[in-house]
Amino acid sequence: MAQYMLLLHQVPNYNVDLPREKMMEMTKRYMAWAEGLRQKGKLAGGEKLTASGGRQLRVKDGKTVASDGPYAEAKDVIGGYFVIEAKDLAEAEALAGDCPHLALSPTNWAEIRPIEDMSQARAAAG
Amino acid sequence: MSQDIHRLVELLARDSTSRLVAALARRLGAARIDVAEDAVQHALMQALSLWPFKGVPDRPEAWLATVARNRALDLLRGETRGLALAEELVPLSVPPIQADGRFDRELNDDELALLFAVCHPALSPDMRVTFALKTVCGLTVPQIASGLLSEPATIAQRLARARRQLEASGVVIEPPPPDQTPDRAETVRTALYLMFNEGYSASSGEALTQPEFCVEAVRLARALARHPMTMGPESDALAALLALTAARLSTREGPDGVAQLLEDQPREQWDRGLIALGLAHLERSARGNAITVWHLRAEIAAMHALAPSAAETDWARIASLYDELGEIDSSPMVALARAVAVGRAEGAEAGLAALPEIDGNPYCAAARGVFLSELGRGDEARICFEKARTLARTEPERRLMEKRLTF
Repeated sequence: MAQYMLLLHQVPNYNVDLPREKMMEMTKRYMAWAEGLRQKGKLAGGEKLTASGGRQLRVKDGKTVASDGPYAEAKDVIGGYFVIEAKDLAEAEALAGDCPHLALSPTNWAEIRPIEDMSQARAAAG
Repeated sequence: MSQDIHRLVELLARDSTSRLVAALARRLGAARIDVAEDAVQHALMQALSLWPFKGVPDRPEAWLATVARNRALDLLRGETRGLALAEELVPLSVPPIQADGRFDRELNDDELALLFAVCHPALSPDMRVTFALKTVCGLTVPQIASGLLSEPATIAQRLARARRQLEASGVVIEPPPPDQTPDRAETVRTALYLMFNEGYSASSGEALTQPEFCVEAVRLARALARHPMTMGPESDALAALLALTAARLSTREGPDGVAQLLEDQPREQWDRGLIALGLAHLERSARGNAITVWHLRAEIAAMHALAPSAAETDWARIASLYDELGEIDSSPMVALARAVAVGRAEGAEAGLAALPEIDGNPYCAAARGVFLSELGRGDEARICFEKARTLARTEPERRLMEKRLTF
């Protein structure tokens, strides 16, 4: 079983002004999807990321320079992520394909990235 | 799975949040009802956006209560007195979710105190209904605006005025003292009756009914009848009236979008569960000797609910109940309903003679049209139906009058 990172891309705050009923609909679908995976043992974790308050760090001339996002103004941010357990990329893609994030807005999209599996390297190192 | 989630989210969004608002509002005071609402709303939104990622916490209500309390502290940061009150909220007791049916959830003491406050006599009747829908029922401003056929901004202003008025009148969110309880409870019952009517016959627009308002009014009336402080024959009679009337809700409009008169409604589609609830309350309302407007109206509603058809209805008995009602409530709408019953009991001639003149009322014009056409006075009837169509307040009613005109 391998792990895959499901990165949820979106326009920042695309859902802040949704009326409560819409928000509830959205959550029900989201939770049904996530709980479904969780019960099948296919969900290893997940976090929601805030749309503001982040910092970007770079080293410039040997010094670490921090700057504000910009996150709230950006066109595309990672709004959150899930870690999915699947036997291969095809299964991960099938599981992620139902994620309601994709259907909630035409500007939403998702990215599946395999998490580097260290177990074989460890085994080799003995 | 997705059924469970659906149910959990609904329960949290409605029941847990209204209990939390009541608990917070009672402790923060009437002037800070909006803080209580905003804090709880914030907590709910947090839950909705976080739980898909983190899973549902073990004690969802406690989670909401903690987030709401912290938000209230933030909102009251600049206000010494409010902050002191909010700090006393640790730990905020959170009643657990009950898996009750939609008409069964009882009011706890906090919620009852809040209901009394938002239906306070210092407020106008329309403020009371709006305020109760928002604060006690937890409906959103857009929901209320669409139900009351108003603009969200107007509703928001009305709510702000109502809050200021409560504050200015020094109203506390506590149950009234025992000597004032009967009068104050009657004010609450009247507000629930108005809330129900707003839902039962929308006063304009595309939709004939706002079932949400009716469901809430029935629930609150039943809760009033069961709470030790407000129980009694009057509260049971109101609960009976609203439940028995709500049973007909789904048949008020036909599948073709045309309003359906009582006599044309498919009675097999009336809600048997609500009729049974209503009849149980009606039976309990008979304790004691009091005959109130609620008793009379409830009995009329029960006669309709139990009659196998319009033709087999005891219209003479209904007309005499309206006679009694007219002695207590001399409104023209009671006279109109009485005239319809008289017309059914004694014939169109008698009905026509009993009809009041209500300028600008579509139902009055339509009833006149029906009696005239039964008397073979087709031309005069047409004029009445034309008038009723012009006056009709909702699309389904307009369509009904059009249908009458094509015969």
